[in-house]
Amino acid sequence: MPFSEQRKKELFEVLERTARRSPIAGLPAYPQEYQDYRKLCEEEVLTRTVDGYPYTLYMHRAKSRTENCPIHIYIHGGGFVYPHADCDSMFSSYLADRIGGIVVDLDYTTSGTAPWPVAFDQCYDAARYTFAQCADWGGDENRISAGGYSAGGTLVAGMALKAADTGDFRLCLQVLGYPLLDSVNSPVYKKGAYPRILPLDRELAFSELYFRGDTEAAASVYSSPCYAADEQLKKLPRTLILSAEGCNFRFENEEYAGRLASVGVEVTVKRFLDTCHGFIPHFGNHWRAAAELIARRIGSAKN
Amino acid sequence: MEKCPIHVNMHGGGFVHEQDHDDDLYCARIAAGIRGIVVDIDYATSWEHPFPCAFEQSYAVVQWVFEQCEAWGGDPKRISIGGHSAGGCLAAAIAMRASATKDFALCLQVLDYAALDNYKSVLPGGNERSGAFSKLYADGDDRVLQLPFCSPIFATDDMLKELPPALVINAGSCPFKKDNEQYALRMAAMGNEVTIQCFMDSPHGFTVRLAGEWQQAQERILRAINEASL
Repeated sequence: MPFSEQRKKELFEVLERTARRSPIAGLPAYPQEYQDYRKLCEEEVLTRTVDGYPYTLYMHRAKSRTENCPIHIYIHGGGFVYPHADCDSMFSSYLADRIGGIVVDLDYTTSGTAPWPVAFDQCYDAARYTFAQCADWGGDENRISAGGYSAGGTLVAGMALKAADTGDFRLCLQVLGYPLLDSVNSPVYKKGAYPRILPLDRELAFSELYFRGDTEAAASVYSSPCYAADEQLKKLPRTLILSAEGCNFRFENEEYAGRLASVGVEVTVKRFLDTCHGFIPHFGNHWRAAAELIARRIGSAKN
Repeated sequence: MEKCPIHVNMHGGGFVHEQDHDDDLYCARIAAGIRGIVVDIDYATSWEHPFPCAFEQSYAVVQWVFEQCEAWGGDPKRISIGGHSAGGCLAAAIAMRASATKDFALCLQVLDYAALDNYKSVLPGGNERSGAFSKLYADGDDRVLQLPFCSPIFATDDMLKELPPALVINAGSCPFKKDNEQYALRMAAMGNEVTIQCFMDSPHGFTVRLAGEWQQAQERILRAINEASL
């Protein structure tokens, strides 16, 4: 089905209709404490262009950072369609301070503007750029990790697989926060899925906006990492997978953890109970416990 | 002097072999690496004392360690347990029971190629050697082998709640690998932090018998204990 402006409009209408937050209410106002996390870092904004689309890198350099510090690439979520938000900057700053290093927080081109593979290519480019700049930034090239949440987790998982296949760079750790790992099977078949948390038409809309009906693209291993072969998985870096009880992807997340573990990748996995998809950078229930676990794993990850 | 971590170790050997010199070496290395104390349990073996003797003894030892902690200069927030093979079964069971009774709070459980299903070997086609270990352990009563403290694989979801963080180590060619992966994922699904690492080129028993990737496994265990704290 050819993708037209009309179709795009229809899909955005689906997203608006199925949004859990009323558009009148707008985004939540985060407590001053969280907004103050940005004061923990020096911020710099960089722009790069990939596939003809510009994207932004928000550099959060912790004031507490050490020499030869860890660098963490952070990829936000939002179904590939929602843009970078203030909470991403707050969370990234918090994390940068906790690890005593730098967080490279990406604002990639979202699917309303450009489809797959633009966002993926931008994330991959950001990682290569980070490795190239590492020495200049005072970072340790053996301690560069990447983490993503929801669609951001999909991008990180794909990025890590591509890097493992090509040998372009070596992450010391990938952090996957409740990622979508299967864009092939209809969400109808997802085990234990709650329509209230992510309605079917909403998830399909996210997917169609990003893949524009290109089923081959959706089925490619870098888009749906759960279809990677053991030969590919075993080259992945150590991995931290955080799933949530109130999340439709918890089973595919934990299965992925099991697959990585079975081929010898060091995997830390935890399902956070009593909280929902999206909880980490949006400061939901138990976000701090998750952030501590992430900071701990980053702290002990070194190639 | 700073309070030190304490680690309680349970050796392997199908519940029939006793603690030996290899365990001494392992425990000495761990104690040095954590700059603390390792308590190594020489539990009663199946010949004279079938299940639940070894389990009850080990549980009592861990409880006793918590009572002695202050006198020993130990840090009560940094007491961990670990076991290898049959010892891993004991460690998993102890962690489960403590979570239910709240008798003590462990900061970590290390399950090293643990024997978590002692029942399947007595089924037709089961491994003969494992089956012999199981028969001795349960004193011939197969139903005992399905009790969760005897075979943690039979734990209910409720029993897997609020467990200490776990390090699950597997050996590539070990027959328990799949069971241990499943148990690890069940623990994770019940809200626990679990790290799984499989040493693909190593055999069952490798960590203590100094085979295969034993050095990496021991270092991984040391790192886990050193990072663990309530």
